Amino acid sequence: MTYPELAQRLWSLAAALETHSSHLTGPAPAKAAAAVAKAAEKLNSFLTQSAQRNSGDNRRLADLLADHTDVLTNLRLIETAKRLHWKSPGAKTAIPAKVRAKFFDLAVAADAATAACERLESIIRLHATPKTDFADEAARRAELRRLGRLTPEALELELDIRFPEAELRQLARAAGLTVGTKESRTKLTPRVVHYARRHAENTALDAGA
Amino acid sequence: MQATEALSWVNPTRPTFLQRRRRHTRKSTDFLPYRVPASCSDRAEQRPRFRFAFAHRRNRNEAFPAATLMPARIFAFLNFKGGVGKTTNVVNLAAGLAYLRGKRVLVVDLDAQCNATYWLLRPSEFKPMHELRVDGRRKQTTWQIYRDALDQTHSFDARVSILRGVPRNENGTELVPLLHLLPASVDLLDIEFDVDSGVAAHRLRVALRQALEPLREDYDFIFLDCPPHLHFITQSAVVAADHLIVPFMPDYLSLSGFRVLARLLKTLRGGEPQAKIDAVIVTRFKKIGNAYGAAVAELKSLVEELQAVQMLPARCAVLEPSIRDDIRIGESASEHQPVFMHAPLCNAATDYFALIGAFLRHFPTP
Repeated sequence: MTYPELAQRLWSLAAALETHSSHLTGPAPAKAAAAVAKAAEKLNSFLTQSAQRNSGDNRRLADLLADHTDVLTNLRLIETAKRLHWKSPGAKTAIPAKVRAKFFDLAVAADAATAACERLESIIRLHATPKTDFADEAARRAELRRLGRLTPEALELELDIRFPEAELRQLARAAGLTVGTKESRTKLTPRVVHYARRHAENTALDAGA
Repeated sequence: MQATEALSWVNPTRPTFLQRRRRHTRKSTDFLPYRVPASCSDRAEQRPRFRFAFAHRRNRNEAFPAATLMPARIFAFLNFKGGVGKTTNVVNLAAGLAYLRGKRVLVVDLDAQCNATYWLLRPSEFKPMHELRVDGRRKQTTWQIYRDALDQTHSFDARVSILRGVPRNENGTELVPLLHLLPASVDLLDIEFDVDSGVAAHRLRVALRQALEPLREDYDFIFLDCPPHLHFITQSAVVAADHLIVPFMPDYLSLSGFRVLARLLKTLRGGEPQAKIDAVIVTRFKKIGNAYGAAVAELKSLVEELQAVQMLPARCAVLEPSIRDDIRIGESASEHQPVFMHAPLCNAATDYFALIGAFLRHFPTP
């Protein structure tokens, strides 16, 4: 029996029950009715959950997770969850499909599929951007100026996604900062954000008189 | 065997830990990249490690082969912000090129504050110079060049005015024979007020170029020490110069000043051929925190941005190293000597030694 057939049958059952309910007597119909009510309640919860998962942004999130498995690695999903203040969707070494499923569940539970979609889309877009040539100091400074013109949030996101720790350090040095060997990424990122924005603002040709 | 080893601890002939350490510690002079011949008379040259750098100087005192000579290139050191190190760079670079690399250098002081003049001349030399009168007039300074332009006279005589072999010691001995000075006088202040017409302004703008043109054959480099503004005298320096060098103090105020200067220079020369900023020298650098490093990075970025819109030539560069802030520079001005003669081991002297190399690589000479 398919779900449409079941729906049809439930419609006809509902109509018959409405017409003949006054004729039902004894414990047996009552017991059957209780069983149907319980099964209907269970089916309803399944239906609600399914409908929620397939709403606009949830569907979009599911599609993103399914289509970009190469970009959305465990590490990136864990970092995104952390950034959105969720629980971790799993370990770095866990099976990727499980981490993606858990990530989706967390997004649905937090009702934050839109935010998750935006962040994952940025990650996918930035991943497709060509890599900066960091061999040249002038190129590093040009990159710093470009980054400094972004909004703080976009800048932080781009630093998170496109710049591994070694390149982030190079970027900081291009801004004239002294970077300690033990300085963590967490501490370094806000400094780079601040100095990149200052760098772009101070070196703009239309700045000042 | 064990007893013998134990006894070596108390051996009185064995050097102590400190003695061993001292033997292996390098002296601060070991880090210097320059040497002098043992025959040199002055204190700096007596240091054995100076020998290499002064080798050129010996050759330069000999007659110049005609084929290697080329007309002097004129460099104007300008920035309309005061206290950025215009005079410091002019004096120390010029003296370094003359003393260490054997170049013939003329310093032309255009600043009414006469800072380069005061730096290179002892007060005992400066006072008589002002009191001395030639043909009933005060001894000539750069002021005479501009006075001639305004009055349409031809009184300026470079042969009389240029002071050769400055600075000099108490006995009048020339310390840097190849460094010459065309001094300034406070009267330069009046020149700006005496410009009463557009024609006079034009005469003033081209006066310095006309005065320096005959001197090109006598020197390798002519350095113009400009006043901290962009009035007629500075404009005349811009017209006369082949290259402009901007001393830069690493902070935002200097950065914004540099941006404005680059913009103004485009219009400053009018119809005259264009000299552009070819180099920036960072002075008064302090390696404390991130403030100065970040400011220098911003300067380099601004240079790249200005090059992208062709407001600066592609050859413009921030010369390395930056000159570190050093109290010895102030001291050396009081001693009337370049910093590397007064305190050859100080940070500023080391930076100037390296900067001279960078300067010659950026502006190569035959």
